[in-house]
Amino acid sequence: MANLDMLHQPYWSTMGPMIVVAVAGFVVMILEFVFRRGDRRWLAALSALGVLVALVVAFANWGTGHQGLLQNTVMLDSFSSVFSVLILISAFLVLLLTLDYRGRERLPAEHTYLILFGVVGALAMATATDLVTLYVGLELLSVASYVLVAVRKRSIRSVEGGIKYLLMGAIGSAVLLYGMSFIYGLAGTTNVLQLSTQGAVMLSGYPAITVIGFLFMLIGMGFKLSLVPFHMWTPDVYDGAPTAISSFLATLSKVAAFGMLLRLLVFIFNQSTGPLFYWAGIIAAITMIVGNFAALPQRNMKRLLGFSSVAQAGYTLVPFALFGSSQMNQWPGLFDSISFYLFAYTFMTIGAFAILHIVERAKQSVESDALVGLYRQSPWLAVALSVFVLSLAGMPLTAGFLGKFYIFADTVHMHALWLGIVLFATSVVSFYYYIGWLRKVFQPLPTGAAEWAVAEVAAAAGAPVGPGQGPARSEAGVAGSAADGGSGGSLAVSPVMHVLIALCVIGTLALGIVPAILLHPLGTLQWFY
Amino acid sequence: MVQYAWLVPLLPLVAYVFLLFLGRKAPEGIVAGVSVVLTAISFVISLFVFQAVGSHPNGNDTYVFHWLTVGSRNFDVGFQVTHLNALMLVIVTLVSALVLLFSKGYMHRDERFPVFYQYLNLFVFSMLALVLSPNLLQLYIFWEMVGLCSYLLVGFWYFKPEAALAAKKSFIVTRIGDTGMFAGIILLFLASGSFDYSTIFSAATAGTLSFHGMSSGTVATVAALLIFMGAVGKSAQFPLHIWLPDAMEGPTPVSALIHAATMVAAGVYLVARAYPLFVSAPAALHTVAWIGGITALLASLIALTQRDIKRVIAYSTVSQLGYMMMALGVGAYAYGVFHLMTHAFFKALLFLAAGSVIHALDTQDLFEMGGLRRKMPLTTYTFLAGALALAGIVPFAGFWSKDDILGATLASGHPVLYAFGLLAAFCTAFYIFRVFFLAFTGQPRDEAKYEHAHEGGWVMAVPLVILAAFATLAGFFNTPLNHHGLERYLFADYAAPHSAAGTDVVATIGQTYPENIGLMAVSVAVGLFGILVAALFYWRPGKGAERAARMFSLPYQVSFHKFFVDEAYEWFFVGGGKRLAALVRWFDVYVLDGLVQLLGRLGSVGGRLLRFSQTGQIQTYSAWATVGLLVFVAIAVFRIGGVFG
Amino acid sequence: MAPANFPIPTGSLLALGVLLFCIGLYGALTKRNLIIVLVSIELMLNAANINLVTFSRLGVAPSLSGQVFSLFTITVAAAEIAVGLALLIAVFRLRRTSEVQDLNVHKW
Repeated sequence: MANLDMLHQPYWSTMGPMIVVAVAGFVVMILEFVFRRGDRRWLAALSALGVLVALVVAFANWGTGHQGLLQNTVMLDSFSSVFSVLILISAFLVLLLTLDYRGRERLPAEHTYLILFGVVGALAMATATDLVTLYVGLELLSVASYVLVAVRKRSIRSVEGGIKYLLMGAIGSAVLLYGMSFIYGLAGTTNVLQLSTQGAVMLSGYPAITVIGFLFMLIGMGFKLSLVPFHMWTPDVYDGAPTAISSFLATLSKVAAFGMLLRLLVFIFNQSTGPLFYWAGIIAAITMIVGNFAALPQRNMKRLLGFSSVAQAGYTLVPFALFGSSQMNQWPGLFDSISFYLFAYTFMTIGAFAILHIVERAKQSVESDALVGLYRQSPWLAVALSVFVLSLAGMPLTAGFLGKFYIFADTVHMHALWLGIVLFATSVVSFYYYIGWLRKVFQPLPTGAAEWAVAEVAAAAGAPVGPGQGPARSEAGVAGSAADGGSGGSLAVSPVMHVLIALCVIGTLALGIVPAILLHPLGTLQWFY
Repeated sequence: MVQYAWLVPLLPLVAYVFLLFLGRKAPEGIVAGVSVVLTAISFVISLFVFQAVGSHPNGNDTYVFHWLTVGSRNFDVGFQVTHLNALMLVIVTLVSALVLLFSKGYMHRDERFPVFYQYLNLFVFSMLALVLSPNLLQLYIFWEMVGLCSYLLVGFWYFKPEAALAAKKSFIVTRIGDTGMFAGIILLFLASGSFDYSTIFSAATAGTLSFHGMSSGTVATVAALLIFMGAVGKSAQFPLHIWLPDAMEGPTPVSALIHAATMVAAGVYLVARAYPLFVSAPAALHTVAWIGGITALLASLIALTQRDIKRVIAYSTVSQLGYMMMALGVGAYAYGVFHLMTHAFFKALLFLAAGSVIHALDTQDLFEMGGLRRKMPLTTYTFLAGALALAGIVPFAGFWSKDDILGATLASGHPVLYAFGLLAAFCTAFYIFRVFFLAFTGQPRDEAKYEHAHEGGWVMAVPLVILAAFATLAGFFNTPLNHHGLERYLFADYAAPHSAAGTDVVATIGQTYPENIGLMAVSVAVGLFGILVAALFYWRPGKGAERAARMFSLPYQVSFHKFFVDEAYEWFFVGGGKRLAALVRWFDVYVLDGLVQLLGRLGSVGGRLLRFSQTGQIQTYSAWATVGLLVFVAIAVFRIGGVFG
Repeated sequence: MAPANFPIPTGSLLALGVLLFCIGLYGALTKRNLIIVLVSIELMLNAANINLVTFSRLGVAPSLSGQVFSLFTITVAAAEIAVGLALLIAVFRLRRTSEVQDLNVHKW
């Protein structure tokens, strides 16, 4: 391999999104050093713009066949296209959400480029085809996430969440790496494409070590995906992190981890899925059961969404487990199911977190009682929240229902009906706690709406006295109008949030009603080569 | 005209969206006006559809659009107009329009008036779309949507804790049935490769259903039973009937529309819609018949002793739905549907009249009513029409349909079920006239409430009068006088030369049962006897003996009858009947309810245990994770055997 | 598998890795001080490094990429530990403690 060849490779068409996001990250970082004063939310807007550009590039690369780069350590193929697009969409939505942090509760501006670097890591997890690159991508995302969780360094909840995430995450990485080292040892290469031809040989030659390597990798990723019993950090960390960061962890980092899980295990062990993927089915079942039942007594909404995301990871792991019991010609259908569910999951989860954020700010509480009277205050938010939680629970006409339905259909076709039954039964359980939310949403406020208005005024009053604060801007006006509204005072929702929630609602409903808009492009993709 | 049938569900949806945009502060007149007018237009269109379908017998028109593809399978959405569907459209739109009108008066000044109408319109849309579904998947979607609307409406007065509980209970109990139904639908899909009714029916009748080596008959039986589970939940059949009486916590118009005329009848509709499947699974059909018969009897026994006017009518609904199921189960397809229709009218009427009473008195306790005849003559006479129809007195609507069912039950060789039905008919006449006499005749028991009683104005009067007319006359749609018009209309679904069902099935469905004047006389007599007993004990209580004396002129007969009826009543009803009712009620409360509660309790205990494992200690978390890791590795190594292999 | 003149058998090196991994895991689960916990996690990562290096010389198909991999791992681990120490300092400022048991704001 002559050195000059390295210059003439198609970097742009392969790594375009990654390059754009990385450049945006560095630019934002430098700008952040330069402009130290004032409200620096425009940095987040700039980051969102960068992500949008990357999204355009990713779309341009969609379905253009496959292309390896840098001795096949990075790969542009259908798989990486789908996951890159999904990661970038969720990154964009999360950045929109962080734009809404203003006044007293704003986030340190460092979070914008940390998110961008995390996205670079996530994109690497989706596109890399080398154990080393995958591992580095995972760690880039993880280290950025640890800091992001603890980004409010004066809040003990935030910092403690960060430490917990770091300790669990680091143990998970160590387990994953230990598993990878065995697989490397048996095959002598770290390249996934080369490994994929040797999976069967490894299993027949060294069954125990291969199984242990497989299990360690599965479990190592299980820490990141919060699969049971490696999930226990999830509610604590989601609770401690600012809501926008919780949504980042729940969607983007899980999507990337799923991408990496598929790339690692399905690609490497494609010839010997039968005896190995059995394990994933058991973990999926435990995860669905524990995630849903643990959510039942939960009153803290962020913790509940944490458990909910555990359960959702379980649902998504079901088609993954099905790789073991299906024929290879059925695999594209499984990839479709997983991608569809992840798309649906991204929209509904970010939407739910966004509304949670609005409610949390207005009421200074994340207990589910804070939802009481939401419909009275803002029917639009109430309806949007209903759409999201009904979708999470799996009500027909929403994306969540179809996603679960496809997975269920897969379990039926591939003779793993017991997993389908667990899925169905646990999603019935999930109706119970989500309906609890809805009941509160549509309840009127017992003592009139004064509480909301007061919280608004307090938030606005805090704004001008906050240290290092620019001139008090729109918040005061918004709070004033809310107070003027008297008993009918409404939530202050910025236009950005309206856009974000509308996008999520549209995504959730569109995928639920006309899934063909996503399934058709997915169907035309060539997953294997 | 048939191709425009999609307009029927669309208009209520338009009304719903429109009300959504009007918001929560919209004036009552506009809200109610828009809803009533649009639903009324739907009704007119349904009439045209009904007529158009009838005029060409091959008119099972299906219009489908490609919706999505899973793997190699296509799923369609669309609508299908059969004779059965057309009839359902007419019933649902008519009752809905009247109930929407009635609600204008009943919900007047409720602060969430527009919301109530939103929910109602959404419900009407879902129900109509359910009826028009061309395949089981679409049906299932709308099936869940009507369930959701029912949940929202039962819990409409959520500030009453009973209402919130009842809403939850209704949702959860019906979901138990839905789970089975969903499994049945999936099974049929796997066995026949399609969700479409026509494909499934032809496979079932041709015996080509196949699933993992099970015979076609077995698959059909299992699938039919599973689907019947859904019907049992929705139509409140034994043993899942427990939610319906509690659902009476909802506003009364909701009870009239959802829990009497339409949604609860969806279970009956489903069985009727899937009739070819049930016919090819005789065991399932038998189950339907027996569940129906048992429900009809048990519910009517429970109704005897209820104090709450709405609960009496609710148990009555359960009982009447049992009749319909029984009719379908013994093979009297047309009679079951016929009874569905007449019942929709007279039961909606009874509920609305009861609503009028509740609106006037602000109580639901029968023993706080009395003497309303003088204050509310219109309500009294319309209620009387409904009660006579329910009791099966000639020539009111209920007489024709109930009689047909009883006759067919006996003719098809089910004497035990016939006895159940006859006993239930007696109880029915008794309990509904007990309500009538307690509420409308005699002296007022609560003067204060009686004082401010009044009729509810024209918006409440008009629906009552129209429904009373239907309750009186609807029976004539299917009498020997018009050569069983409705039967012939419904059979047309299967008479077409290219009917999806096989000839055996068509023969079963098309079977007619001749009138039997003797049986008719028996059931009218039983109904009259029930009324008589009720009159003796509740019409001017204490003077029952004198009335009986006057009726039977001869003095010894007076004493005899007084003695006999009194004692018999004491012994049979107050003693045995009450005890039996109490037993059934006990079974409800402690066994069935208990099971539901137990499931919920288990869930929350499990959840709480899991909750206490979240200690907040990161090292506990990693310890759990390590245990998980070790267990998995240990099992893996054990299975593989030998570490270095 | 091992070259004839190589004095240490592969199995011993892998056993060393297993041992390190277990010691690290044990430390991470039981030690009260956050710094020691971080050190223990570092031990777990090093167990993987030992494996990688062993396999790059004595594996089924020896190659250099194992050693490259371990270089990356060491770098990444350093970054992780740096963040860990930073968070530890942040916690210490807020709570005046570095005991793992005291991190119990979130529970149930």
